[in-house]
Amino acid sequence: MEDIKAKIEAILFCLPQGISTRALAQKLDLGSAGKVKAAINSLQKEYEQRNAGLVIVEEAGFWKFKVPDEFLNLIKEAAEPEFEKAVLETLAYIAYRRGSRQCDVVRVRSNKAYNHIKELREKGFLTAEKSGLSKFLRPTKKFYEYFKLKPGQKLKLPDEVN
Amino acid sequence: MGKKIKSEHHKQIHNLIFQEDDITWQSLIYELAREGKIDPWDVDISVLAKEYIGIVKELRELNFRLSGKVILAAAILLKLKSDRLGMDQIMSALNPVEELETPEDELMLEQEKHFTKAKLRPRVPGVRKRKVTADELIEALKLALDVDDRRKRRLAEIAAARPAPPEKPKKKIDIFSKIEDVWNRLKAFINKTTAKSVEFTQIVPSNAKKDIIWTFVPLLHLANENKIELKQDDAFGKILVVVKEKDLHSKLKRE
Repeated sequence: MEDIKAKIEAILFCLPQGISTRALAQKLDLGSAGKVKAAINSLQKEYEQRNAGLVIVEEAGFWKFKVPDEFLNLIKEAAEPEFEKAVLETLAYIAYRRGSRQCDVVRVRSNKAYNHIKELREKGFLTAEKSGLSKFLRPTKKFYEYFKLKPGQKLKLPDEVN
Repeated sequence: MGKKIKSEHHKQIHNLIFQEDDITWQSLIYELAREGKIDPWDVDISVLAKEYIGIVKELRELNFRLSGKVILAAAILLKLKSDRLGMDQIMSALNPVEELETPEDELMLEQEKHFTKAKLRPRVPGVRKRKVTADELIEALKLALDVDDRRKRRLAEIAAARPAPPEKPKKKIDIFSKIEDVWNRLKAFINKTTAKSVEFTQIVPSNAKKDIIWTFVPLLHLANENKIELKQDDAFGKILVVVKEKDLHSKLKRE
């Protein structure tokens, strides 16, 4: 078990994008994904118990190392944010309107917004429903969890926050 | 006997490949390290590949014999460099092999492929990205909402930089009143002298250019209306204004 945990740790360290349980089992020549899951859970607990500077999380079926939220300000300049500035602006605009038609987003954010929306949908931060000729985009549960907002909460302007 | 010859032949080839090269791929890398172009303890694959290819090109220009191993080493370095730059991901994005159901499936397939087939993998972990904070999201929102204003401002600046279209000159002189004025003057002159024709100089109020022009232009209009006829025998000679008798007499009788 300890051997498997060490190997998983090494693999997770080398893959910032994360790895699925199935891929881990295949790499470690373990027929059962259950063994991998047990090892990861044990590893996860170890990191939690010693209040480490890293945590192991599962995001959309991928296991990865993450920096806990309390250290985010500490590493703000050392690491690049997960979203590009323009993508984040598009996401913020949609969240501010608590959902918006894709055509309206593109009108305000230019044609590049199509790529931003694609990326945000792939990452699971937006859902799209057909609305006439366009699509209606909504922030997902994952979005509210990620930014620690209440589900459906309107994003406030900086002036409103202050 | 034949087997022995064959074995010697193989040995020769072996020596040619592994011992007799003057320029080996190792010697090129040693040379780069010796010249201080790379740090052997902290090798930057990108710099190494660039410098290496530079030397290979130089050797080719000098027409030195290049070992196949040198070319192979260059190819390996370029592959390492392209892997580090994520070229495989770009190429797969440009040439998708098959439609996968979700991006997760795609990533899983990619990982499985890498673990089973790929030999050249970067040994250091990729760039790690951090989570975005709610404050950053709010800052981004402010910028996103400002975007319309910024666009309007930019359009206004472009419009301001564009030169204004030239203004249409206003009409200061009413040509119809001028025509009427000249026609009245002509009638008065004919009535007084009972002559059939008048010299142009006789109906010009003064020798000022303005007066000459504003007498001549209405006369051209009157000639066009067939009320008068303009005659000039010689170039730059006297201009005679012949009033069409029928028209004038009928008008004068009525008056």
